[in-house]
Amino acid sequence: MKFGLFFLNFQLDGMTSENTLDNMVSMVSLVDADEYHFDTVLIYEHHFSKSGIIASPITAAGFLLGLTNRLHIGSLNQVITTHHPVRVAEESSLLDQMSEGRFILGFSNSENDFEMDFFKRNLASRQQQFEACYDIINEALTTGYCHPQNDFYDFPKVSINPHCFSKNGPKQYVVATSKSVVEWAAKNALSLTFKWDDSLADKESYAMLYNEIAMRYGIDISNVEHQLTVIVNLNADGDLARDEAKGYLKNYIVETYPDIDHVAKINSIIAENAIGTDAEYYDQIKLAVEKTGVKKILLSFESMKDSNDVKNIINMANDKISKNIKA
Amino acid sequence: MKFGNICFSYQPPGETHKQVMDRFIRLGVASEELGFDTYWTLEHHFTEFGLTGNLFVAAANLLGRTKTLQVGTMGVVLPTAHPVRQLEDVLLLDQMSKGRFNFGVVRGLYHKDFRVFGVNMEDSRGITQSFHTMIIDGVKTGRISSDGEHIEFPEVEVYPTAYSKELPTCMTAESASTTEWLAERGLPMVLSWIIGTNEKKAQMELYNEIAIEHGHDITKIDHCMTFICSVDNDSNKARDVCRAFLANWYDSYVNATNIFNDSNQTRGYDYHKGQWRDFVLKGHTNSNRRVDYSNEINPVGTPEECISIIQRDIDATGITNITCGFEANGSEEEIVASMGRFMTQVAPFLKDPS
Repeated sequence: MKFGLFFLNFQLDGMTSENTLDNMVSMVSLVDADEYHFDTVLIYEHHFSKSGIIASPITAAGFLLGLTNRLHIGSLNQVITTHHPVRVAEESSLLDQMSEGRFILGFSNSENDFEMDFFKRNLASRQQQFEACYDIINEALTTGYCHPQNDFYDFPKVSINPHCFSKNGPKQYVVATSKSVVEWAAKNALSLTFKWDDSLADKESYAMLYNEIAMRYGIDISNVEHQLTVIVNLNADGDLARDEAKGYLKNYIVETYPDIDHVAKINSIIAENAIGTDAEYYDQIKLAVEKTGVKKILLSFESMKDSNDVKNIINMANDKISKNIKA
Repeated sequence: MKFGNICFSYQPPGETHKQVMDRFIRLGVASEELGFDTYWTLEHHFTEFGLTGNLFVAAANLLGRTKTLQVGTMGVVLPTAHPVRQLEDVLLLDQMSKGRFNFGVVRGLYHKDFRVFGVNMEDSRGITQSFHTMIIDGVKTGRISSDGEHIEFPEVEVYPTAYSKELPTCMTAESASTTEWLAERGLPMVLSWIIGTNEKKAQMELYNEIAIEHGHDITKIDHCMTFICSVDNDSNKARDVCRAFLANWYDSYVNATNIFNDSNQTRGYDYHKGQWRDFVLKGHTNSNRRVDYSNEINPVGTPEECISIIQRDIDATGITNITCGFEANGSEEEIVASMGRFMTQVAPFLKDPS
């Protein structure tokens, strides 16, 4: 099992944008040191509210790749449907070159109707646009060129510069946002990122669907490495951890899920992520790993307010990873 | 007096993308080590004329690698990307670098960019002015909206908030129209390396006249003057080392856009077409003659010759923010050596305008 971090960059009440980004930069600098066994950092894309103040995760990854020497860093969910695919390809190949293969392209279909409308994308053809964008990006990253002639993009063959450093372009992950995306991912043997705010039942159903489709179409998924995102807030006082997590998640959940019972949603997230005491989280995460078949776990410690507590938990996790590696 | 280093990320014949990008990084890091104030990047797409298509991402990486260096874009092709995306990138870099990012823009000269990104090149001036106003306002207010002629979207909040009280910006100004538009707003210009002292002086006189009419304090506007530079104690060596690179580079420039074709009908680029016709009349379409002309008006030669050329333009324009491109100096080691000679044997001897 591999481990990494992911950053949502919620700007909480009482915090500035500078505090929020400083926390990410200092955490990434810390775990880039050789003694840490986290190998990945992914950054969340979000627009137009404080529930995620980074709208350009590839740009942020560019800064962090420049700052670090070891970590593989990239986007968690670059929303390719609402972005020009040539831009995404140029940005990805540029960072693949500048970091000599340390960039990761995690991408997503758009889940947000407002953003689809804002960036003038047709809601009815969401999946088709997503697939068309991906085809252009992937052609560019694997060949250095693209020449789309589809319903959404049509222009002459162009060279996407600089061409990638890595032989087949950067490592790719797609967020499991819907059955149609998961089916498409399985047909393309793409690794999934399971969302921390999806229920375990949903994650399990996506994993089963993925395997079923891959088998039906004879897809070789031996190189697929799904990853699980997990919110971490551990404290000797489990109620304190849960209260802190509730405060952290509230605005995001209200904004993202306007039509459901927010308290129930938050409680379910708390129950299915690593939130509580040191003794409470293990079985739940182990179960999620078994149900999804993931080979990597990405952790977010951002809901923990005390930076010393965060460092202690990171060190504890690092020790456990280290012992597992030695074993 | 401020000194910058501009990197074109041009791919000379026979070099790989890896070699070009390694040099791009090395020159950025060396700029900080040698004491340059700013490292400038250029946007180009689909051509060997420049390999950096997204300057926000390229600048981000260099800002991450450095501690004190300003990193700027010279410039982002403003009309070809959504203004909200650009504003979000600007704010992010301003915050992550703690104010070391300089947002420089251009309106675009290359038809393929407009074709691929789906924008009418003939509208580039209007779109640039509209987007620039929107983005600069958005940096200050944290909000952006548009119901204008070129784009429409509802008001949204943008994050992160700005770090800088006054975001450093600049815009490349070649035509009188752009010069006038910037002067009315008191915004800084970038002056091109392909015009001589008299044209630079005339451009500044036009700018200053209009800026004063609009109530701006022209002593506080941080214009930037660009040059192609090669410093060597042997003047002929400095000129010769530039020749092969510049001949290919200028040819690549002409081939990257179609507006210099006789049959081209694109409206809104009369200044560039007129400039090209002047080049034709002077015989500068011949690569060697174009390089000779470039070497005459740029600091290419001994330290004393470089000081003389730059000082002449400082005195003519009043500009004390000097940016030089060094990529024509040969190998990576030779380029860094020329940068070093510039910072030790040229820069310290330049004086404020007389």
